[in-house]
Amino acid sequence: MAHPPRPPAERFRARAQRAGSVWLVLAQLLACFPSSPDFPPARQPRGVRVLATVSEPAGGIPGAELQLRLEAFDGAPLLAEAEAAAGLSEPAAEPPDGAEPVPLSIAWLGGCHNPSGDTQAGCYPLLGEIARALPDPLPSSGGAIPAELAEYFGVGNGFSVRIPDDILSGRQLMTAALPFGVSFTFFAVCRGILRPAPEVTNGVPLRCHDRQTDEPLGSEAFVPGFVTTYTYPAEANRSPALLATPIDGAELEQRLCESDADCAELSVGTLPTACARPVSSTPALAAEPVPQRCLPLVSACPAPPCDSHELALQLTPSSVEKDPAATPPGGVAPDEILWVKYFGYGGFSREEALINDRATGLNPDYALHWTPPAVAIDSPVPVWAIVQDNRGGTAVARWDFVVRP
Amino acid sequence: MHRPLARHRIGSWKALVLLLVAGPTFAQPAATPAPSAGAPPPADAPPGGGTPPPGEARAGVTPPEVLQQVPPEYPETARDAGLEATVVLRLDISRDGKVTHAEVVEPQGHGFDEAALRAAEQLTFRPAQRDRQPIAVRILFHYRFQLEKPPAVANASFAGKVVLRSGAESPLGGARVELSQNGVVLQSVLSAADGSFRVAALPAGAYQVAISLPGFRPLTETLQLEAEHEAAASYALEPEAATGAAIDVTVSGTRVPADVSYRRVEARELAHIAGNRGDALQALENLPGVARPPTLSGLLIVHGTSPESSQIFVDGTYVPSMYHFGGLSSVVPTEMLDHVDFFTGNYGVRYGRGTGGVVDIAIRRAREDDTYHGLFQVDLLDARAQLEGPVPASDHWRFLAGVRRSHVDLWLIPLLDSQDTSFQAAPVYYDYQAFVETTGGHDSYLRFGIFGSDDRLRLTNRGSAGGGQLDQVNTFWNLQLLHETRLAPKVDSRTEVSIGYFRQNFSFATVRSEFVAYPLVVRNEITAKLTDHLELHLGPDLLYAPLQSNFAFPSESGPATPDSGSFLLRPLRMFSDGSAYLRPAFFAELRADAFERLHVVPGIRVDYTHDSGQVDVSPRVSVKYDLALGPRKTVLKGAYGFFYEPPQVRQTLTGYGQPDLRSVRALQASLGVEQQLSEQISLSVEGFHIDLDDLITSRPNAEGRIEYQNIAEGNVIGGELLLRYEADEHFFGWLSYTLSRSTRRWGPSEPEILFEFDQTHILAAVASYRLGRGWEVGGRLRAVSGNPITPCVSGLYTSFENAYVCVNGPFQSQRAAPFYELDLRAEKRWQLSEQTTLTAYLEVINATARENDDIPVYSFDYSQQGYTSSNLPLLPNLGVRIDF
Repeated sequence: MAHPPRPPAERFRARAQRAGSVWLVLAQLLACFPSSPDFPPARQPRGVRVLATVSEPAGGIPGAELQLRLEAFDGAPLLAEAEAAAGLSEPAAEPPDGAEPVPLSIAWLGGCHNPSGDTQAGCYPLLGEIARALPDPLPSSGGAIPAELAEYFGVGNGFSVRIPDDILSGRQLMTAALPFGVSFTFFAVCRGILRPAPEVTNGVPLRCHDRQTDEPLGSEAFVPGFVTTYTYPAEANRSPALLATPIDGAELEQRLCESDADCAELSVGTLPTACARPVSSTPALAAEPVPQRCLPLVSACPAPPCDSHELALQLTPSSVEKDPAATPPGGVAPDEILWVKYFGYGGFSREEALINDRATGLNPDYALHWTPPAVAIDSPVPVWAIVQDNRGGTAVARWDFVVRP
Repeated sequence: MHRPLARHRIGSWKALVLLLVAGPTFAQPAATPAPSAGAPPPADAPPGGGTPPPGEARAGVTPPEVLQQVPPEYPETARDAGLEATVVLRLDISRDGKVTHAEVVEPQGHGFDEAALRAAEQLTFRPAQRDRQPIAVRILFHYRFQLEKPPAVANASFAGKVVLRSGAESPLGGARVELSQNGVVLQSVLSAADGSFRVAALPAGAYQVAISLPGFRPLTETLQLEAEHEAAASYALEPEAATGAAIDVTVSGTRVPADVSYRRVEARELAHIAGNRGDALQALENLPGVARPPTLSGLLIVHGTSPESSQIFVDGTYVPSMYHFGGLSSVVPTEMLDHVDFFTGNYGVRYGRGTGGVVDIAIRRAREDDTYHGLFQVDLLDARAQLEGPVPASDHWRFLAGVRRSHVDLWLIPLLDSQDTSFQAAPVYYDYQAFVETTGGHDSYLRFGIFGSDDRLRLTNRGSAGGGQLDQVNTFWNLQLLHETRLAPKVDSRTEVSIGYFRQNFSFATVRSEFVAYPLVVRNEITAKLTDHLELHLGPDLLYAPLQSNFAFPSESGPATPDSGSFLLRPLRMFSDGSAYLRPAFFAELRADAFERLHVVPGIRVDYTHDSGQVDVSPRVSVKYDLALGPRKTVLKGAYGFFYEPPQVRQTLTGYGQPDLRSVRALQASLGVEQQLSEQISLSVEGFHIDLDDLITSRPNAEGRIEYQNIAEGNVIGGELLLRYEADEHFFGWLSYTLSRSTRRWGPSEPEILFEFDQTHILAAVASYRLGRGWEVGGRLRAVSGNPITPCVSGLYTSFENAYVCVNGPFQSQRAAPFYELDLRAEKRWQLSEQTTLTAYLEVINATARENDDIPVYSFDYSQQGYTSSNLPLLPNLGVRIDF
């Protein structure tokens, strides 16, 4: 019978229809749908979290090296401090004077280029081989890594990936599109110690164990993940660039301090500042303790209504680049898609927003309106904005607030 | 009022001259017409307001009288076309009886008016008189042009039966059966106590048959009688109180063999199933063998096969979707339907290119009572209107037209704006149908028409990282010609020709797809009755479709592959090309009544798929045996056959897919029994098995590149049951149950897993009851096993999305919670006049507000699992409808 062909969009549309997505979205928006279970919000790091991966450059170049690092954070101490301040738990024992914070363990597994199916799953056989060759437990520093594993394994918050010279050879899949190569680099972030786990065949073959008890740790202390790097025969992608991150329209002057007195004359907009040491995002990288700085001072918000503050991002105009890999046949390259995700503590007006979209263009309304948390704690409270483009570029912005009663 | 004045023979033609006096002073025929053999008396008269009855004249006035006339020439083109006409002239007659002025009052065209005027110039009258004095007058004068007919031989006859429209078809005695020609009743009889009637000694020709019985809705139809033959027909009258839907919709299940056994669901049932908004096509989901589709998905899942494997046709023309946006409304309104052939499998060879089910929607014919009918309906989602009747200024043409448009956008956009969200949506759908048709002699039927549908959706959400703007357009229309005729006394032909336009546009974030096709379908089915027990069906089935594809899409991941994150962020594969695809086929089927109780239908179909270069030969056979006859009839049935489904065009496009793909093959077998338990209650039980081979999926090839491959296979086995109380004056209902298991093996080295829509138990109970005084209430209860699900055992952070992807556990290793839902419906009808009814209805979907918790959901890192409900919330839907 007459049976017109189905375009490739149909599969996606069929998936969407199977999920009833369009109407589900509409119905949910109208609040007439059953609610989903209450899960912890993604924006609030309650344990170990990877907030972003940063690649420099932000795309692959045949024969070039990429430097990868993580923006990771362990929110457990901060939450414990907040719970104690709210009277929900006993205060944690003070660390001995001069004790360094325990760094997060970070390990990298790489060397997987153009795997079968161009998906991360195509790397799992290689990862298994690497895991079987790793010492147990994993070394804590790069110096202890056997030379033959150096290309495939690394520790600490930084890893170098060399894109093969021939990654684009034989990759002209279609005449109308740019050929591409794809590289996957896997990592694991752990509050304890990492051990190889070659028996894991559908993910990162590493496990996270408690430093004292050696018990396996769960998702609050262990984040496995992967970085995808695409290589095109075109100019490499550049990450979005931040010009400023104003608070209520005013830029904070970066000033080191030893006490509040050093910050007495410094304000940002209508907010005064106070002297505090921000919590390190990536303790494993912190060779030196993070210095104390003058940070904006806000009052805790035990009950609404509370003052909210606009946390804005000012990007360079060149942050929105052209995307040559998406050039339609006979057409011109469209703009990149940019978006932002917000993480942190306190009240958020949104968790994410588009910055630039191909159909609707620049979205002027993507700032965060932030409300201080309900309780005051000694540690400054961080808020992050992670700006990404659709080609792997990342920019990280961070605000820290001193919250007092 | 009028009387014929004169009739004159013109060669082999006749012209009947009529005179009607309608002047300001008198109205009386001047002469009595001479009788003419074989010519019926004139039936129509021009308007004659204030005209006295024939034979009367005003006091003192004598009308003019024809003294001399020359018969008009019969227009040659009209004669060749077989046209007849009556031309009304207005004549001014002087006191000396001359025609001083003539003009046509009601032009007839085709040369009739000119011929009449030329003849009128040669008329001579005895002048009208008043008080014995000649006077000038103005009169109306008719020329009736009538073709001479050969003397009729009254040797045809007509017999039949009148029954009550219900499952039991109880006989109706005392019904009047009238046969008429040109409005003149020639024969009239009453049906006997057993409902039978017979009319004999009729001349061959076309007749209007009218069946009437007090308390029942009358029926009329056109009947063609052949000389020396007795025509037979059965008429089912519907009680006047039960004329809710002025349509007759048939839903038939698996036909084994074709045209011998089928299930029938009356219009009243289809229109009153709770939860379907009166939509007949959605009622299919309540029949055996059909799985419950995801809410608002619009998918048709038949016998454990893929939704893409089932096909939907409108009178043989493929339509890409049966529903607007996810199943809110079907693209052809229920009131347009004559019947719906629904084959859950093992269908005859006239259908091909699919391995699932077939839905063939037949548009009904316009009513033939020469009056206009229509309806208007509005509810929370859409409004529709429909009109039908005779085509103005035509004798035998009728039309049927309708249009529907959603109005969700009218209230949704303002609502979203008022909530100050960054989310906007503008869904709009509409559909339209327009047909003109005529019924000629020799069982000929011709219909031209157009039908189409348009769905447009724009979702804008800039408050989400994965948002942006989604644009979707699904449009199709088809110009269609349908012709049925009798080529010879025992040879019939049905031809379906359509040319259409099919467009699908989709864009979201980085991906886009533009697709346009112009499918041309030519189908012809010749039916030849070779003997009393042997009937041959054969014909070609051609599909040709020029198409233009332009898309940018990532590679497809096949089913049962690890979650690799949003495909929106993967590199695009681009394709832009114009091509055409050609898929001719030929089918032949023999319907044999081998013995009195055994019916065998062997058939064969040959399909050629030009884009893949493959020839598929599909032999099929179905058998039916009447184990017991009479009111407790028992029928055994079985079928076995091959079915082929060619690759989707994109899968064989050079540069995008693999041109050497083979068609998917299905080997279907079924065995069942039908048992009539009582006049109203019947039971049908059937087992089925489908062996799927050469299924196409996407998997990495030896070089690691994803490509389409014929490496998958599947297996479906199950049984179904339908216990049914057929509609009577008050009640209808059925219980439908299907037990099945559908599995797939997506690669030679992969394990056999459940099909994603496998549902072990599917139960639907439907009932409706007429309370009287226009009230009717009903309900539908569904209980269905949950779909298989693949659990996420943990999460894996991915940098590109700054989010987690699911780490899958064993594929399809768990099953969602069962689905239960109760829908209710209440309706009240007011009879505003003989022709007009007003209906208001309230449907309550998910009346118990049940949440089935059958969709797994996860926390952002997949460390916690919960469930949400796929069924709609308690949702009332109020509608109003006017029929006239």
